[in-house]
Amino acid sequence: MLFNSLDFAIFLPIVFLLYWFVSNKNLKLQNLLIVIASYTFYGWWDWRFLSLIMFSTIIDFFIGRSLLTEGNVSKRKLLLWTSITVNLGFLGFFKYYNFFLDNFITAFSFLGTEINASSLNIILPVGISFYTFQTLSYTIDVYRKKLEPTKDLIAFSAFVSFFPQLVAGPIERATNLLPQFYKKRKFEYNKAVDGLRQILWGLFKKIVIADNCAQIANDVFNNSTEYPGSALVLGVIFFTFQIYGDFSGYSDIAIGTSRLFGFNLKQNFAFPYFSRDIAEFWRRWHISLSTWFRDYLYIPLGGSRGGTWMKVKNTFIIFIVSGFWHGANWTFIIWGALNALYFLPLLLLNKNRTNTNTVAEGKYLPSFKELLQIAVTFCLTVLAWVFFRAENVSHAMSYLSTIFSNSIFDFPKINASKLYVTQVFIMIIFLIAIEWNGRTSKHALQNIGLSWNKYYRLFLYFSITFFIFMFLGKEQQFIYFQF
Amino acid sequence: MKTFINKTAIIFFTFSIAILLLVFLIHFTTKHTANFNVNQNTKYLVMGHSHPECAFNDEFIENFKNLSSSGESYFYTYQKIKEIIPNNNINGVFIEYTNNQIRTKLDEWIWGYEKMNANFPWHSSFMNKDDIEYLYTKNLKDFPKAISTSTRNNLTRILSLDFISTDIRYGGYKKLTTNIDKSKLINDINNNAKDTIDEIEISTENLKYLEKIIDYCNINNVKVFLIRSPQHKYYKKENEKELTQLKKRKFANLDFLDFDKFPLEDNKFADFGHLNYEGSKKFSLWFNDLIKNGLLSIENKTDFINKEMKEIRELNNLFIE
Repeated sequence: MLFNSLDFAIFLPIVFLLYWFVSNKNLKLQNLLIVIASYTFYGWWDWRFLSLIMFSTIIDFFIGRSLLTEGNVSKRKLLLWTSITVNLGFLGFFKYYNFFLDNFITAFSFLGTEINASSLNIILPVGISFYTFQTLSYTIDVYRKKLEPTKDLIAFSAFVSFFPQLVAGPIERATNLLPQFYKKRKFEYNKAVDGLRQILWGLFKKIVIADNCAQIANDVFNNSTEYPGSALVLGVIFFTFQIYGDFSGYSDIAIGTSRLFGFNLKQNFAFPYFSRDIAEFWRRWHISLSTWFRDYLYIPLGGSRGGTWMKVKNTFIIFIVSGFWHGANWTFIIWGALNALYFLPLLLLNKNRTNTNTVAEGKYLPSFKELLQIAVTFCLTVLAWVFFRAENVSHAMSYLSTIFSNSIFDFPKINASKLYVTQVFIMIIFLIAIEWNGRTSKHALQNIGLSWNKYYRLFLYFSITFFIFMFLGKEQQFIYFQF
Repeated sequence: MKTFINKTAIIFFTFSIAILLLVFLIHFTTKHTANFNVNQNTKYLVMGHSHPECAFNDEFIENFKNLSSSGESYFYTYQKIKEIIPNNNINGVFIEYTNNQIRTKLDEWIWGYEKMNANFPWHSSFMNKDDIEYLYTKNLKDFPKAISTSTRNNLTRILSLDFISTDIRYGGYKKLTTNIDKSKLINDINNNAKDTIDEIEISTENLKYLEKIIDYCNINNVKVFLIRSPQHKYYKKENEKELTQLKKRKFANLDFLDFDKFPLEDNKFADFGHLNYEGSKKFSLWFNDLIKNGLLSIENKTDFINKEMKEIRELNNLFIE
C-alpha cells in the first residue's frame, strides 16, 4: 500500500478509529491491532512475503529470549551469528544473489573459465533491507546487554512490522521503539496535530516534488544520449530533488503517522541540502541508516580510535557498504566510494565535525561564505547522484562525459514542456523556502506560522493542500521501496 | 480526541469545498478568456492525429490551418471542432480517417491516463456535461488527476495572461527532420506481426465521436472530408478491409480523399506513418495545387486524385529512367 494512494487514505482513518476507540482499553489488544494492520498494509503489496517478516520476527524473538538465559560466551556468539546469518541470508538471497552470480561468471570468464549458471528471477520483497536492519539491531543490542529481551511476542511483532515505517524506514532501534510498545499510549492533541502537519508536508514532498521531478529526470536519464550536457545537468538536478522529496517525504509521512498513534520515531532527514560540507550532509541524510552503520559497523571495526589509516579504511568500508545496501549494482558501490572520497579531506584535516550546528542559526539568510559552502556541497552531491540514478556504470560515465563536454553550454532542450518544467521549478523554490524557514525544527512545518494569526496559518496549509491537488499525477512507487 | 476529530473533519471539508470552488473559478475564467480565433483567411482545417500533423504543412497550403495533434482521438478532435467552428468562418474540415484510428487501442487514447492527461486539460473548460461524464465513467481512477492537471495548466495560463488557445500547443504542423531507418523498418514489420488480432477489432467508442463531428459540422454548414495522409508502403494495414467497409456502411455520403499511396521516396518519410519535412513539403505543395485545380468542387474526387497521383508516379519514373 502506498502512502500516496486512495487505499491508504481509507486505511489510515479506519485503523486510527479502531486503535483509539475500540482497542484503547487493552494494551495487548492495541498492539495486536498494530500487528494486524501492519500485516494488512504489507500484504496489500504481496501477502506471500509476510512469511519472511513472520519468520524473522519469531527467530529474533526466541534468540533474544535465549540470550537472556545463556551465560556461555561462545554459545551467546553462536546465537548472535544465527540471527545475523538468517537475517542477512534472506537479504543476501533476495537482493544480492543475482549480482554475485553475474560477477562470479564475469570474473571467471576473464580467467578463461566459462561457468554455466543462469540467474534466478527473484522478486525483491519490499522493505526487506529496512526491517532486516531493525531486527538485527534488537539481537545485537540484546547480545551487548544494552537491552532487556522482550517477553511479549505481540509487542515484538508490532516493533518489527510497525506499518508506518515498515517498508522504507526510518530504521528504528529496538532501544527507542520497542519500549514504546510496553507502555499504554495516551492520545495527545498537540502531538497528533503536529503529526498531521508532518504528513501534509511529506505528501507535498512526495506528490508535488518527487513525482513531478521524476517525470523530468526519468526522461533525461532514459534518453541521455540524445540530450546536450546542459539538459543532463538539469536532469540530475531534478533527480536530486526527486530523491530527497521521495525519501524524506516518506519519512515525514511515517513519523507523522506514528505520532497519530502516540509513537515517537527518530528524525531521518534534517534538511541535508543546506549542509556546508559532506560530513554535515551525512549527519543529515538518512540519519537512521548512517547511525546504524556507525553503531553496528564503524565502531566495532575500531571507528576512529586507531591511526589515520584505520580511520580512512573504516570510512571507506562504511560508505561502500552503505552504497551496497542501496542496491546490488556497481553504481551504488561507486556512489558510496565517491562520497567516501568527498569525506576524506575533512577526515584527514580533522574538520569533519566543524559544522555541527544549524546553518545561519538565528539569522534569516546565510552569509556569503555559508552560501558558497552550501553550493559546493550541493554540487558534489548532485554529481554523485548520477551514479545512484544511472542504469549501470557505463551509463553513468557517458552521462558525466556529456555533462563535461562543450554541449553544457547549449540550450537545455528537453521533452517536457517549458510550462511543466517552470511549474515544477516554482514548487522546488517553495520547498526550499519552507524548509529553510523550518530548518531548526524536526520537520519543516513544525513551527512555521505558529505565531501567526490562525487564518494565515490555515491559508498556508490550504496552499500546500491545493498544490498537492494541482500536482496529482500517476502514483509513483517510493524509490526506497526497492532497497 | 473528539476535538481533534471534529477539527480535522471541519478542516478537511472546508479545504475540499475551497478546492472545488477554486477549480470552478479557474475553469470559469478560462472559459471566458479563451481565444479560439484562427487567421481570418483560414477557410479549411485539417484535424487528426500525428499522421496529418506531419503531412500537412500549412505554410504551403493557402487558406488552410493544420490543427492536428499527436495521439489525438476523435473525442478530442470533436472538442476542438466545437471550440473552433463557432468562432471562425470555416468552410470545410478535413478529418483524418486511417487504419489505426478505428482500432480498439484508440479507446485508450480517449480515457487512458497518458492521453487523457495530455488532452483533457486543453478542453476541460469547454466540454459539455455529457462528455465529462463519459470520461469519468470510463476511467474514474485517473479522472481526478486529469482535473488536477487541467486546473494547474489553466491557472498558470491565467496568471501569465496566456489566452491564445489555438497556438502550436493546441495543434499544428509538426516538422520532422529524420529519415526512415530501413533496418528498424524491417524489424518493426516483424515485431508488429503479433498485433494482428487487435488490429482488426474496431473501436466503436472512437467512431461514435467521428459521427458526432460530422453531425456537428452538418448542423453548422461546414463540409466534412475524410482524408488519409500518405503512408509508407510498409505501414501495417491489416484492417484495410474493415476500414473500407466501415466507410461504405457509415460514411457513404462523405468524400474520402485517400492519399495513402501518394508517391514518395523512402527518404521523404520519418517512419512508416509520418512524413518528414521534405515529404510534407512535396505533398503539401501538390495538395495546394489540387485544391486550386478545383478538387473540392469536382464530383468524382477519387478519380481526380488517382489521376493526379498517377501523373506524379509517371513523372517520378521518367525522372529515375
